[in-house]
Formats: sequence, C-alpha cells, structure tokens
Amino acid sequence: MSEQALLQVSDLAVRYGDFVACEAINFELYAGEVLGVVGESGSGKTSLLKALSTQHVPSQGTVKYTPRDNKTLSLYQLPEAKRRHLMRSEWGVVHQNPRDGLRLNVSAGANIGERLMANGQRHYANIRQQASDWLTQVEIDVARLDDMPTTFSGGMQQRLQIARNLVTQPRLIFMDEPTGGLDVSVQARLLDLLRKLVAQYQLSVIIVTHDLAVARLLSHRLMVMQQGRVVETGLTDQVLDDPQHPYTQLLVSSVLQP
Amino acid sequence: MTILKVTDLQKEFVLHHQNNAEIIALWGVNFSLSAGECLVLKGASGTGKSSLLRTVYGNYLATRGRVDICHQGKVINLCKTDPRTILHIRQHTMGYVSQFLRVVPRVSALQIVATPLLERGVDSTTAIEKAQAMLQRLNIPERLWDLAPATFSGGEQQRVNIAHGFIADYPLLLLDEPTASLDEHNRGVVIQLIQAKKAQGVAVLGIFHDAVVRDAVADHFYEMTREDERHG
Repeated sequence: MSEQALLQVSDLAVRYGDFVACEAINFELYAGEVLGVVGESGSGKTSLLKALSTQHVPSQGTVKYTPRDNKTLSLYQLPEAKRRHLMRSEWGVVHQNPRDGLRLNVSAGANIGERLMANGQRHYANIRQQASDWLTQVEIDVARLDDMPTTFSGGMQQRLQIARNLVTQPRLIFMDEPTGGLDVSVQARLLDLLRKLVAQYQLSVIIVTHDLAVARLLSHRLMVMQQGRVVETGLTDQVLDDPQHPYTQLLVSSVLQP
Repeated sequence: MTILKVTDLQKEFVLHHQNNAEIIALWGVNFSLSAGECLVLKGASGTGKSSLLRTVYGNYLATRGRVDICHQGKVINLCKTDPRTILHIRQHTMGYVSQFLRVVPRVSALQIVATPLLERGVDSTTAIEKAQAMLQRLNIPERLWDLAPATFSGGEQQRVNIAHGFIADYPLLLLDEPTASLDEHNRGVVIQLIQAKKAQGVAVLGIFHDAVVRDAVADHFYEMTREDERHG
C-alpha cells in the first residue's frame, strides 16, 4: 500500500482577479481510486477539475502526475506539447454536455477512431474494429457506427463520449457531472456502465457531482467543497453517513428521499 | 489469536443544525475478540449496538479510543488509518451484513453476491459459481438470480445481503440482525452458515434479537447500556 500516487496536488488555487474559485487544495489520488468531489453550484468544483486536467492554468500550487514510465512530472512545469501528449495518451475528460466532448460533424465511429489516430494508429480496419468494440462496450448498437452523433439521444451521446475517451486506454479520467442532463432511468444505466468500466479497467477517476447518490455509487473517497475550500474528506460512506462538518451535514440532510 | 480489540471507544454525534445537540452513542466500550469466537452485543434499542458495529466497520468516525484489527498479519488501528487502508481491510479482512440491503439499480442478485470475490480478483467463472451456490444454499429461487433485488421481498433481500457478506473468507464478520426477517427454515440455514464460519476460525461480532440464533452461535455477551444509565 505504499506505491506511488498517480496524482499529487499541493496548495492548488484558482483565482479570477480577486475572486477565489478554489484554494488550499491538497490531496493524492492512487491507481484504481475514484475520488468524488461534491458541493453546491459555485463551490469551485469545476474550476478545480479544470486546473487538475490542464484545461485551466492554476494561479498557485503544483499538480504532479506519475505516468506509466513511473517518472513523476510536475504538470505546469512541462512544455505545452508534452502536457497535450499526456492528456491524449494517459487521460480522458468526460464533459457534462456530450457536445463539448464530441465532434458533431463526424460519425460515431470517427469520434472514437480519431483518438486512436491522434495517438499514431493508421490501420483503418483496426481502427474501425476497435470503434465497433467500444460501441458495444458502451451498449450502443454497432449498426449506428456510421451515424452522426447529432442523431443520438442524450444518453447515447454521453456513452459515445465515454467510448471516445476510453478507447485509448487512459489511466485517469476526469468527469464533470457525467449524468447531469439525463433522465433518471438513463442516468441509472450510465452509472451502472461507469461502475463496470472503472472496475474492469482499474481506472482512476476524479468525478465532480452535486448528486450525492451518484457520488455514493461511484466513488471510494469524497472531498466536500464549500466556497472554494475543502471542508471535509474521507471514505465515501463515512462522509455521507456520519458527516462531521456543518456544511456536509446540511448537504446530506437536504437530500430528498424518493 | 486476537482478531479485534476495541479499547475505550467513544462516539459522539454533534448535530450542527439541530441546536448543536450532542448525542453520545458509545461510551467506554472495551472488549476483544479471538478467531473462531462469536461475541454477541446485548442491550435495549438505542444503546448503540448498531452504532458500535458501524464504528468498527469505519462507517462512523470514532470520537475517541481504538479499534485494532488484525489485517494480513499486522495490527491496524482503524480509527487512525486512511480511507484506502480501511477499504483494503474491508476487501480482505472484515465483512459486514447490515440490516438492509443497499440496492444498486440494475445490478442482478447474482452479480451483487459475486462482487466481493470479483473485487479480490477472483476470476468471474469461479465467482459466479460460488455466488450461485450461496444463493442456492439460502433458498433464493433460481428465477430471481438475474433480477435486481429492488423488487424482492424483505426476507429475500436479507438473504441476498447475507450471501454477499458470507461469500468471501473474511477473518472477521460483523452481523447486524441478519435473521430479523427470515422464516424458521432460513434462520436455520443462517445458523449453520455462522457455525461453519466459526469452525473455520472466523471471529464474529453480532447483534441478534432472536434468542434461538443467539443461543446457537454466541460464545460471549457484551452488555450495552445507555450513557445516562451508566451515570445513574
């Protein structure tokens, strides 16, 4: 249990002028671990996720990542090109709105294949085969391989986005409200799929959500944010069943039971 | 060999939004439990029996005291360890059967029961076979195996929960009234399962309101009282 952490975050802060989006963020993430980041809208969850996934340069602090070759890198000291390469080869980002993570003017198959091509694969038949395999894995009919994602339902688009991310076998996935805009029944199916894939591929995941039920189902550990700061962390079931901080107690007690 | 040792355990809840009310759920709990032994918690409702199990499992955060667990040859104080280690202990050393099954939507009974083995890296054919045998043993009709237990009866759900808790070889089992909604026949099956675990050297910490089960499995009792009663 003493292996190297995949991600080490120290004293991270994101500020927009005088406004503090998040600050004093410290944590480590290990291989195969799912970390849930919960809190209300405006608590700084998405800003934190962007600063971790190199979508936004933080105002302060360091993010260290240990790639497959085991040589730890400090992300914001890397040249831009190297950061982009890491993002393509070791990471995935699942956006809340699938339209932000998909290319809408190319087919479903091309959306998946594109990532493989970006990583240097050139054999058309292989790429097409992998794209079909991944459509099946995310429970989309292979017959839809050449259809445009605009003809897909919201739930299917989200599953396509997940396939597009996982096809390159990333180790770390960032997810921002992945079940956000979906109907409850579609949400349950997606959650079940995510759980399966995370276990099967031993993925490390940082998932931002305001939905505590989603957090309970998917994450091992929770980080509760309020006004840009982490107010409580711990084992998911412990934080939700025995919340310590007043804000977490408020969050947990405010959930409506169906 | 001591599997579990609880020392001076205390649990207080502070309800920040309800006038900062302080509730003392556990106070001065001390006991130890050896391999192959079954310790039964006794006491009226509200004396903290379930809270004690949850604190030992790491589901509640102890306010004071120690919970020492023998995990893969090392003694670890659960109250002072990190979440990853607790998850590791739950995966390999400590199983827990709660009163109610927490149902995951769309996951079949068979899958739920097989999960503890799959998480340990057992291959899926073996895990599924063992899960089938376990469900059979607990008399869950085969036509239900591939269905999600949300629609099962209370007794069936409880038996799925027991199958899930008993399938892996945990050296320590925490049982929170596992027979509360079972008929006589299935209660008998659970008694046999507990006795078999004990014979294998598993340490059992349990709550059983049912006197028949209690008498059949208990080696020792631990009496719990309310904190205010202790102080007279």
